[in-house]
Amino acid sequence: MQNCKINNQIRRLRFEHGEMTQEELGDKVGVTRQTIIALEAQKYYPSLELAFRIARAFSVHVEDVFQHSDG
Amino acid sequence: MSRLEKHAWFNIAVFAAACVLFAIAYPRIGLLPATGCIGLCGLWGLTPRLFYPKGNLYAFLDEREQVIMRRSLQNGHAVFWALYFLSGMLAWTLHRGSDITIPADALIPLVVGSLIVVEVVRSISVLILSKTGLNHAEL
Repeated sequence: MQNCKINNQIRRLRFEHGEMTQEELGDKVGVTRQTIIALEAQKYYPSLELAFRIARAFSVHVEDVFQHSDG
Repeated sequence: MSRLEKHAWFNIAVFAAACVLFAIAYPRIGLLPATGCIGLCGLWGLTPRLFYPKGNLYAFLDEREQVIMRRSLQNGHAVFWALYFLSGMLAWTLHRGSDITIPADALIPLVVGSLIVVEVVRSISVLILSKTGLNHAEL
């Protein structure tokens, strides 16, 4: 399997959306604060469904939140 | 700390208590009655399930925690089969050429002991995977 890395802009988008807390984002998308922490630290790559829910929470497209880069 | 990690710590605490009780009881009342102490701890281990809908922890977990839960179960299974292999080979090696068989009384503690090890490994896996991270595509 080819090595790849998925970057995300969750932290930046949270602050651009009224300094939304990790807890608030977690509640919006139906996951725990620990999962938002893991996502921001790129320790966890979300399912496609969760990726879409996060994008919808910020009213942006999925590719505005997640970017794929070959490593 | 997530609910899953708390549950894992609770499991480890239950098994530590079971080991301590067994170590105290075994010299006094013997092997089989001492396993009863482990059984009592098993009852204690069931108590958190009273607070889960239909006794199901999964209902409280999000997708990352479910992935961690599944991976930890896989680790527990792997350890069980490794123990199964090692204990079988050990018994065969020790008693090869003799007509000694494993006493029936030892079977229950062996099975209970194996399951305890599996559950402890599963709980430790949960704690490690929660800290180190896991990708959704890794299953």
